[in-house]
Amino acid sequence: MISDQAKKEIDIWVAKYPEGRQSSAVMQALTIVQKENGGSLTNELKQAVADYLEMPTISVQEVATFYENYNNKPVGKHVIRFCHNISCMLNGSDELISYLEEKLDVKTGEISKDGLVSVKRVECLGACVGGPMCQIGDQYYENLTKKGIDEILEGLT
Amino acid sequence: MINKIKKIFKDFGLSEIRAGMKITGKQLTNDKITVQFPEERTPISPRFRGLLALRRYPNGEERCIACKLCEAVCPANAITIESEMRDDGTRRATKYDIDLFKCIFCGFCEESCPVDAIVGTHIFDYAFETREGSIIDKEGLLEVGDKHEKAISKARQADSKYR
Amino acid sequence: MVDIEIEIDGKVVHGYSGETVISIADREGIDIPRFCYHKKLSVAANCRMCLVDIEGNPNPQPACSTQSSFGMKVHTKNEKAKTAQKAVMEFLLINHPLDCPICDQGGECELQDVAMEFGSDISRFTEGKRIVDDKEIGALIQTDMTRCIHCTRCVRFGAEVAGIVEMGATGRSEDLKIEPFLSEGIQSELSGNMIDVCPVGALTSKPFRYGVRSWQMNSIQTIARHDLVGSNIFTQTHESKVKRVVARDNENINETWISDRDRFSYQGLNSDNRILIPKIKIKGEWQDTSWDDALDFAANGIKKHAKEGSQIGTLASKNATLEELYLLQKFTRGLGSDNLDYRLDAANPSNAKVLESNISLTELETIDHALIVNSYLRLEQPMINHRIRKATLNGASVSTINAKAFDFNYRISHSVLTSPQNTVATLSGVLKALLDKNSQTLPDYLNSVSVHQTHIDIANALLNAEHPVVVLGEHVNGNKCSDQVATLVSEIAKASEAKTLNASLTGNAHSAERVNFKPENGKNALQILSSDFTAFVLFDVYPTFDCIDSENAIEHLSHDDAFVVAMNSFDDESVLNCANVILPIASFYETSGTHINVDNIAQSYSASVKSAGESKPGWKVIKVLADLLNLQGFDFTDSSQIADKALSLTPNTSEIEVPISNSKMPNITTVWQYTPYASDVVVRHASSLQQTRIGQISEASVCKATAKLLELSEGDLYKGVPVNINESVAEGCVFVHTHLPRQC
Repeated sequence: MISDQAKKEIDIWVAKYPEGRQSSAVMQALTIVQKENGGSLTNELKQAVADYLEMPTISVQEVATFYENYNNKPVGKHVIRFCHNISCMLNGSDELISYLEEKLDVKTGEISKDGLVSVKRVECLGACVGGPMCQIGDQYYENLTKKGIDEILEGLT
Repeated sequence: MINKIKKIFKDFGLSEIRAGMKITGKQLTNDKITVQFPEERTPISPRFRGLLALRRYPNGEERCIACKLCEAVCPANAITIESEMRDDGTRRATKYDIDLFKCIFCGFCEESCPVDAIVGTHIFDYAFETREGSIIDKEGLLEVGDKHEKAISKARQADSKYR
Repeated sequence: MVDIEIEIDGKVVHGYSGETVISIADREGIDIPRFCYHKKLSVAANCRMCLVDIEGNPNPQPACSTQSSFGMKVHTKNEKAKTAQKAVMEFLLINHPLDCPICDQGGECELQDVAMEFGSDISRFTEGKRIVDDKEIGALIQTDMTRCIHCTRCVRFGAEVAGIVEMGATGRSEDLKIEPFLSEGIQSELSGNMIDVCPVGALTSKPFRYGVRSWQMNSIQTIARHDLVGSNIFTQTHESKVKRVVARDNENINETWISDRDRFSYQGLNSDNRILIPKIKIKGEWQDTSWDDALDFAANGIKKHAKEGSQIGTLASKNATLEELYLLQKFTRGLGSDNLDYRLDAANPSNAKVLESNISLTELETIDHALIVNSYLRLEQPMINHRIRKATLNGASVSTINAKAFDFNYRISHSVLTSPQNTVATLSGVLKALLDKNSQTLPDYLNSVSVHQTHIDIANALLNAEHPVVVLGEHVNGNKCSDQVATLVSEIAKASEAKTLNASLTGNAHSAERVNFKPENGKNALQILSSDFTAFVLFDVYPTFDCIDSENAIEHLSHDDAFVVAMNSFDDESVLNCANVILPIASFYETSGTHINVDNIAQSYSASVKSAGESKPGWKVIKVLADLLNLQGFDFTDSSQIADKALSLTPNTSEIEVPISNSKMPNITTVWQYTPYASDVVVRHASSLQQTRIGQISEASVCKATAKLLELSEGDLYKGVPVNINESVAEGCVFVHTHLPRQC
């Protein structure tokens, strides 16, 4: 289930914790496995991570459902993670999210018809100074406007 | 002496009969207050507690959920309930018996019912011919409820603002 | 541990430094509302219901996680504390449904009780309430997760007590849910305790569902008889039926937990398969009859067939009460026979000394190494396994010598896979390693024994431990060399200064040992069942399940000249075939009795409900039968008199030397283990337990090499049980774990 390459990467993280505390590496392990699986986690993958780190599967599930950066459902090629917390909200994130949904014809949490994009509302990403903002891949896009969103979407392929 | 003469005049003058007839004459034209029971009935308060009944929801589903609060609160131990999970997963009574010999019509059951299932109707003139007849089962109670639902809901409506 | 003084509500109380405020308050009888705090679980402090005002603190503090310190002044009922508690209550009730009338927890609900005191009459919350899907988690626990208040007691119970983390809190904030990973059903053998720890109606008993309300039932203190712990329980009855069983606290025996077997077995009592009326067989036809006629028939039959006692054999279930076993042995011996036994599942019911248990249940928590021999302890004796698990949490290690690598809920440091025929050799190896380490002289039989590295590892572990224990389990009963195994275990314990725990005496076997319910000179169970005796008395025996060689047993019981008196509580085809008269007896919870547990604690209990139908308590039936046969010394009027008499007996201790030798054993042997839910007749009739994952286990595990020898392949039937080929089984044996009747 987990590729050898991924296992090697997980082992690097496991080595950072004391012996017998390999389960501390669960977040990194999930991140690595999720990346390899095209951005989302499946029950089988979580089971595999649990077996590899010798921890209860439900504990992996707890982590995977708690944090926003794990996707428990299949996602599009690009995930637009839109912050909707206080600073962004005050600066009009709700309106921008509705605009985004309308433009892409997709609801938050779903994948667009062409499979290219999915939109997700997330909690604060720590860039309140530039709100409203969103994250696509590893990139932050700040001070967003409708026009800015149009440009970003054109850039996604 | 003078009194004796007065009495004789009074007695032979039929004064008492005239006084009585005067009242009769007066009442002759007034409305009658005698009620011809059972063809006629006196008005009953919406809160009257008569024969008990089980109600249904407008869609026909029985209201009772067999929570047994009425059974617990009944001071005369007149209610016996057995419950079970129905196939659709809801909690239902398989047995709901009220012993009318024991029932003292205190209305606690009605008061305790969270879903207004058990209610007191305005029926007070009922009879049974056998000893076992005093026990009225769930079907019987539902039947009473179905028959008098209009009156029951009207009474609840009338009393609702005081609840 | 310093004794400190604090003040709670103006009352000066004492505690230990570091002790939490709530635990001191509990001891002093000061009521603090709580949901997530449980005395046997870790402190989570996530419900916030136990907020109290502590002088010097600007904000109220949770009493469950605040450690007391000298001079602390706590107020649990002042304005500040009350306001905080009321506010928390309001938050908890925001999403809790108002469905108490249909909730089985209604009437015994902690939330209901606390809401009565701290709840508000009117809700200020007008938004929609949260709804959570229910999870299907098996046949024992009903979930109504909308009612959950996220106290996480069930999650902590799984992680800390059951040892199998099955429930978890997934999602966050408003989407937080308590659920298992996949809805496959809970696996733990202690899962029923989640029902007890749940403070609301989110987890309730499924077999109990919507039956009766808590206030309708009577709670009766009694003892569970399925295992050798004798867990303390309450049977809750309504209209002379046991409706539910819940745990009763006894720190020395079961703490606050009970196993699922003890909790749900009561269902068997209400099964349709009970024998309710005495029956006699006339010309091969069964007919119902009265007690008088049936007892006369039985007494006359015994008189005619027993031939002064030389021709009578008595067999009893190991789950019978002390009183029943005492009277039955008195009855048999009074008839002039010494042919009696309770060890129906023993392949070698010898007169050798029984391995004694010399460690108490509470002491088990303090051990630092346990050697488990011939036992799947987790399923066999859940409460003992729980104590050992507690010890492992404190750093104890465990090694095993078993026919299969079992799924324990703690880590096994050393494990030797050994078939029954090699068990003696393996134990000899360990003993030799021990004696070598101690540089003691070896007895002759150890000279030719080979010692492997794992034997040395186990010996080292035992020697390095300060408080080691050796546990001998149920599988030894099926071993032809069981006496040698027991001897070696006791030698190993002696050499390593370890305590011993004999978990092979299951059920109420300690009572049977106490009243010497086994032959001194007469015939034992195996011999009785292959003899041509003409009279048999069976006490709650179901040959197809209980007897090790059931086919042979049934054959001998049903031969034409044999007169068989069966005292049974359940209907059974094999009993119907072989018996001549069936006297219906009361089952668990229907009779008063005494259970002697592994610590030698005798616990007496009274009947919780009336016996089903016309059945009568076993001791009364035996007494009347003895009276009819003019036997002396049966003038008892209640069971406590019998118990007093029986408890004054001391078991015969035999001093028979057991030679350790290379006994001839077949090349391939079978270890037969019933699932815990097939271990006695009552639990076999408990339908919900049979539907659980443990109850459904039925597989004959065998390793590749042995499978080849036996010409078995995956999915074949071995003695009626599907074969599963895997390498966790010792070579040379088939490990059958099933709920199906034993085949030879």
